[in-house]
Amino acid sequence: MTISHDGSVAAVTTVVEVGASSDFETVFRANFPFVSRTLRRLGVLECDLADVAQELFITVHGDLSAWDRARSIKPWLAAYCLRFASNYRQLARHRGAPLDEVIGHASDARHDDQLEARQTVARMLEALDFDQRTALVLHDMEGLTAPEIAAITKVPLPTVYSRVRLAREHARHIINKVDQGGAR
Amino acid sequence: MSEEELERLPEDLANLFARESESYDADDPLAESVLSRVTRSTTLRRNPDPDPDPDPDPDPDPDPDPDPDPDPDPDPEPPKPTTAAAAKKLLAGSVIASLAFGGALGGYAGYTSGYVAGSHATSVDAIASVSAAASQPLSTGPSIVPSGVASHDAVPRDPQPSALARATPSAESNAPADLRRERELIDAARAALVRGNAKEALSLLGSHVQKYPRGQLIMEREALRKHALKELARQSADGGL
Repeated sequence: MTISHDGSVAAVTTVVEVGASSDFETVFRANFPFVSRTLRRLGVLECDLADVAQELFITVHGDLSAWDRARSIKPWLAAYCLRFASNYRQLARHRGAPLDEVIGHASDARHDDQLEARQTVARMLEALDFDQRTALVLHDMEGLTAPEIAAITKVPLPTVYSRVRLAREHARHIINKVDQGGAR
Repeated sequence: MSEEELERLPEDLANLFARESESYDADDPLAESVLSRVTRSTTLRRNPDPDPDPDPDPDPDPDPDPDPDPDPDPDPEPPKPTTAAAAKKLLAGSVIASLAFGGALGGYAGYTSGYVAGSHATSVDAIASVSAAASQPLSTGPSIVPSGVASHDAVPRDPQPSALARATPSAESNAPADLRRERELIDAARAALVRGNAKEALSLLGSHVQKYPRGQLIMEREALRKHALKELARQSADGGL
């Protein structure tokens, strides 16, 4: 399955065709950026990211034989990201965490405008309902198709479309508020 | 209904998301350390500790480097910390991670007062229900994994040797073997809780109580138990039980 990607994100995550022996490490190296990015965007704090990613990949390691190699691995891994992020959020420690803790030091942001964009998006995502947040992250930021997201989230396809639309509206509203606040 | 029914992402949002995406380095600095930890854990799962005897004999292994990783390749990241500072950092990380659920705990005093004053009665009730449920098969909550993707609950749930515990063998070389085994249990319980499996976490914590009633990690155990009970109560409420 080929995923139609939107934006530059697609270049980061590679859909890998892997052999039998070095499957896991190949999958890990090709997809860790996608997984870590998605976990962050779904609300895993920087300080907990390594632990959550570790547990996720241990599970992926055990489940790898279940991956249908005729399909892209990205939606398959996205399902794990969603489940681990959802469980993590339900543990509630991060609620009300300051933005610095949400985005970390963003030391990998190489330019000020990138850091600013990450902060803006982090604020916006934190303000979204989790279902809308998931739809926006997976569809508009990671390029998964609506049917893929429907399969992952186990909701009807129209619901995915609705969530994406609402998320965009809310995102624009929140971003406008952030911009207005910053302009004062 | 088709993808075309969804309007194209507005240009300003697309630009913002593109800049945000560019802020993530393709070579995430966390990757190597996480891979090392996962590899260590999965290697240990395949080659479990040949000395599972919980008898607190002096550690028979005189080898100060019990790293089970047979990979001779030099890793750009040290496979295990060998300095006291690195070991201390990992140990602190383990403690923080173990306490990282259900609410911010402001140190032992805060934890103790919160536990005693705030949730003791609830915990007792929950412990009773957990005890009753302990012998039941683990229930599986609604899975978000699509069909065709193996449910995590289908994966054998061997108590996971802790990567953190295993990553600090050098630092623990002077500690009793019991402490390492205690930490393995605690970290396995923490891992189960991260996965959302509160029952498994409580079961592992129960094993810790039985094996180490006066252990050195009682505080971690009780903090984890508190959060596991809360998580179990929440799951029960969600499930209408």
